[in-house]
Amino acid sequence: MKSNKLLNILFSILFLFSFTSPLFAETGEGTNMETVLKVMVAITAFTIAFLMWLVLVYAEKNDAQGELLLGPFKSVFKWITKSTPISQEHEILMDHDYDGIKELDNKIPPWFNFLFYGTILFSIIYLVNYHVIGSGNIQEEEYLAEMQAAKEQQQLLARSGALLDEESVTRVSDPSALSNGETIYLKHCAACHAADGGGLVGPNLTDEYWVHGGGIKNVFKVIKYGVPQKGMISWQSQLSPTEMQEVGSYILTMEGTTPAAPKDPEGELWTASDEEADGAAVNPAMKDKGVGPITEVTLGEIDPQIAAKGKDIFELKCSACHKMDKRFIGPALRGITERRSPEWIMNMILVPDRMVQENKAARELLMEYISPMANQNLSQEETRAILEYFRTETNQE
Amino acid sequence: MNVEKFSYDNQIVKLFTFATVFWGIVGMLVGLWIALQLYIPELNFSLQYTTFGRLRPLHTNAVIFAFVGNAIFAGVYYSLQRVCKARMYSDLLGKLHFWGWQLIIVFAAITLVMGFTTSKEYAELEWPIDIMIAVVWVIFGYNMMATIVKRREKHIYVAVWFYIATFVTVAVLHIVNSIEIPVGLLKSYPVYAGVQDALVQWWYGHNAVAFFLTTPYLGLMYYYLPKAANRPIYSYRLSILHFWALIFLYIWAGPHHLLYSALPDWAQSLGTVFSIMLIAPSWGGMLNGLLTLRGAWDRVRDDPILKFMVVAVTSYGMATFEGPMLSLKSLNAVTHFTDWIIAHVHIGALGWNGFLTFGMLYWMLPRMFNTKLYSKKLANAHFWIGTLGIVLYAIPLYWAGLTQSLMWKEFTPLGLLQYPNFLETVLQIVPMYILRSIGGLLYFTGMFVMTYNLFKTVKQGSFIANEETEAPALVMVKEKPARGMIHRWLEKKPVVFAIIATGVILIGSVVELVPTFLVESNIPTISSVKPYSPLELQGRDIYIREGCVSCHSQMVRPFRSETERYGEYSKAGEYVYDHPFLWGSKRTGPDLHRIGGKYSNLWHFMHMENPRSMSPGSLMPPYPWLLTQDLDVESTPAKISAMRSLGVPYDEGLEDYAIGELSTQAQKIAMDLIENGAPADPSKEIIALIAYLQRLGTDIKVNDTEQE
Repeated sequence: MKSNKLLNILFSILFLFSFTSPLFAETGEGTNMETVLKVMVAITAFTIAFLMWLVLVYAEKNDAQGELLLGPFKSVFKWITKSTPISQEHEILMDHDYDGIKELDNKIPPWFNFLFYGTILFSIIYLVNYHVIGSGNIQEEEYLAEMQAAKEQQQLLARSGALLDEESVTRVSDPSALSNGETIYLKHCAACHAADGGGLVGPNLTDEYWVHGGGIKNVFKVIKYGVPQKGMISWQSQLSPTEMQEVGSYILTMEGTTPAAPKDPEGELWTASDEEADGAAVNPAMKDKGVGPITEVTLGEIDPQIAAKGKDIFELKCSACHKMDKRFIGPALRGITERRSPEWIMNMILVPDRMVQENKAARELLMEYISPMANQNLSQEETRAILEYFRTETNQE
Repeated sequence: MNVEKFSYDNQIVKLFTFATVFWGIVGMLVGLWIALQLYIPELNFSLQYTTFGRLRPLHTNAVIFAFVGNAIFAGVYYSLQRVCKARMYSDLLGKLHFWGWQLIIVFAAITLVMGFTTSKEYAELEWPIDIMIAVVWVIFGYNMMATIVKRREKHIYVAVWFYIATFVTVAVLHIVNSIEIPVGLLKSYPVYAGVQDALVQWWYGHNAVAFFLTTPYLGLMYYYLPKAANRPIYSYRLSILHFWALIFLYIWAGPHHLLYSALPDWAQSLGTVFSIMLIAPSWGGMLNGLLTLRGAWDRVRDDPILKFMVVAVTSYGMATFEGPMLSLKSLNAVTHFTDWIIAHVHIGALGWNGFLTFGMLYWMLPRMFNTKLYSKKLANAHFWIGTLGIVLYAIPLYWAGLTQSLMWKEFTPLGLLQYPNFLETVLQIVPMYILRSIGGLLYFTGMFVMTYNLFKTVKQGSFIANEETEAPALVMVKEKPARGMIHRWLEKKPVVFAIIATGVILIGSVVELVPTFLVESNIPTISSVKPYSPLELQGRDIYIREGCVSCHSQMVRPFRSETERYGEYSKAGEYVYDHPFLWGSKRTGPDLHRIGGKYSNLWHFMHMENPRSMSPGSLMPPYPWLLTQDLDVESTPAKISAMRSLGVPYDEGLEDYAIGELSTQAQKIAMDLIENGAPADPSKEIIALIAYLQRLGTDIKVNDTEQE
């Protein structure tokens, strides 16, 4: 009897471990499709398997002599179900009779007890774990931990430069970054461009001539993607964006130095004014054309007739949500043509859904204003008219 | 031995049986209708009485209290007489019970579509109907207990234990959850607010499932399954164990409906562990059902009645395993507020309750009409159509719930929400909604097949109104409970049995409810939280009337994905003036707890008039009548003083100038709307609703919560 109890406890503990740790109270945030699917499939599979097991174990077949057939696990099944065979059922038939319904006095199946004790033990451990050992302040702590993790992730991203790309990259000048850049240069680049930048297989990096454009953005782009047809490999799988930024900035410091054996200049002469024209001084948002049917708009003199038509359309279709000078359901629009490129504006009007999906700036606006911009099904011509109207409003100020 | 001649009353069983079929068709039809509305919002036909918000409670009430309720009564009146060997105590009480219950259902249907609702799930009916329910329930209980007392069978059978537990517990649940202060013939406020109201409501709501959809049905199973299978109950001991364990543990599990909410952590943990402990006792019922079929499995193949019962018991086993799993917080974090839960409850409702009812009706009706079932073939067809219907109903909804939840939680690598527009996650699962409605249609079709079959059966038979029988009179000998026979002794004492059962269910109730009311640290006060203004209060009542809570939660859970989407997570102290609480249980639309100040008044105005003008593709129905209906301002003073008597700190004498204050605020909102070009009228309902929506969740600002 005693050993039986011990066994019960052992079984209960086993049962407990079978579904504890991963399902404990940790939050479901970060739970991906796969985990949840696994849990769901596991639950369904478990229930179905269990029911099949029930039928299988409790189903009884007799051989020709009326002996019970239970298969190879006879003793295990017997021990785990403690079920009296149908043929001997008269021995445990009670004298109960309710409108013809009789009752047997089968023992409570041991496996059922394991399950029950197991869940009770689980509950005790759960409560002790969270409310006696732990602080009992479960969800607030989980939330703070989750937010902290997100913040660290964000910082890590910023530090690793994952947020840097050829559009957003800037030239850095602080000595530690440049010294990192130098180390990277000597390790990875010197073999082809020479340690002093004079060029060997690759071109000279110390002169003012660039094959694929100078300036940090172009240099970054060449490092990142490479120029396979000319033998320059892509480095984005080996260097982090920050490292590419550092080495690019270091390379630009070599301009004007005198290498030991300089190669002849290749490519075009690159001047600082080119770099400015490339957008360094211009609001980067003005270069963002967004995504959609509009890829290029040429702006001429403002056409008052088209602008007036645009004003009508605006008032009919847009003014419910947009005011010129006041943040409303959507943002205020005066000066929009100085903040966004004409292509971006037209794409936002024509395909707002796609813009929100694929354009970062549009997505950030949605996060700020929450209300999604409605697609008013305007034609390109009507949209162009609205743009013209926006230009007149910008100029009025 | 003195053999007595008497008869069983089949008349009352017949009435409840017909009512079961009738209300089953009505309730399921409404269910199908709102399932279609989920993707064809126009199906309210521009009527305010038929929006999803008003029909959803009609559907749940109709299927739970009308369909299942009448089935319980039919089953109980039939089986109770037979296992007690006694006619019902009073035919008159039975008739009162029947007609009283049908009257309640009719009132419920009318008031719910009219918009009279308390908004508390499965307890939406207003106070006069609550009183009727209490009276009729006591009539039923008295008639039942009196029948048990004058029985000719020495012991009460396990089915009767379950009937007794059902009667006492439902009475306790209904009364405690319905304590409310009337402010009009069909309007009341519950005495509980916010977190307390939520806890009481889900203590009730969960146990409505436990003691209205489970325990009486286990009782029915214990009678009809062994009768249909002609096999003895597998284990009497198991019956005892799982009965007491079930009713003791079930009552604690309510808080699992409120995991990751403003409910205190300790209560949430109790909800989780008691749900886990429920697995075994629930399965005890399934075991005794399935194992009673031992030796009769070969008959399951050709007997549609047994087939229905097997699927019913199996569904019960699946749902009672899934339920505890959903109570684990990690899984709950994903599934709560989604369609997964709808799928889960329908496994129970369609599988367990529906199929057991069908099995019972197919078995019982031919016997009462002294004939055979008209067509076994049709019953078989019903079984397969119904089973297919359940599968087609549940699987798409599981998938939909999972998909949508993961979309809510998905972040881009840069740390922004991947799907910031809630609507996008709704439109994604519309195909699943379509499949689900097909599943529902199949199940509904099966219901018609059954109705035809039963109709034909009734036609070909001849009704036995009073079934003659005889049994020896009961001679009670006073006995002391012998060792090891205590329960057997208790089975001779139905009244003691009822009292002990009541005690058992009260333990969990008291331990969970009382501390939440008395211990202040459970609901930390926030000084900046103020009562609603008179206009906002009226707006809130419109929100309640329109059933907005059916689709919109007001509970931002403490997850990053929710605080990024909605704003700071909801705190217990913010709800102290919310009579009733409006946390909701399903998000078909986004959470609204932090909606205040997010949009302009004009946005709300246009959105309520036609949601698609502001969010193209929205599945929300338009509410144009709010723009034309006058706000009922006359009720304001009564509402203010009712609220004050519940502890809301309104200034003394506010009643006298509340209407003035209300119109000042309404004027301001209307002026703003007019300035922005909307044809607003300050006397209309829309103004009050906007006032309420703009107030929601604005009492605290992030990092500005002071705890006193």
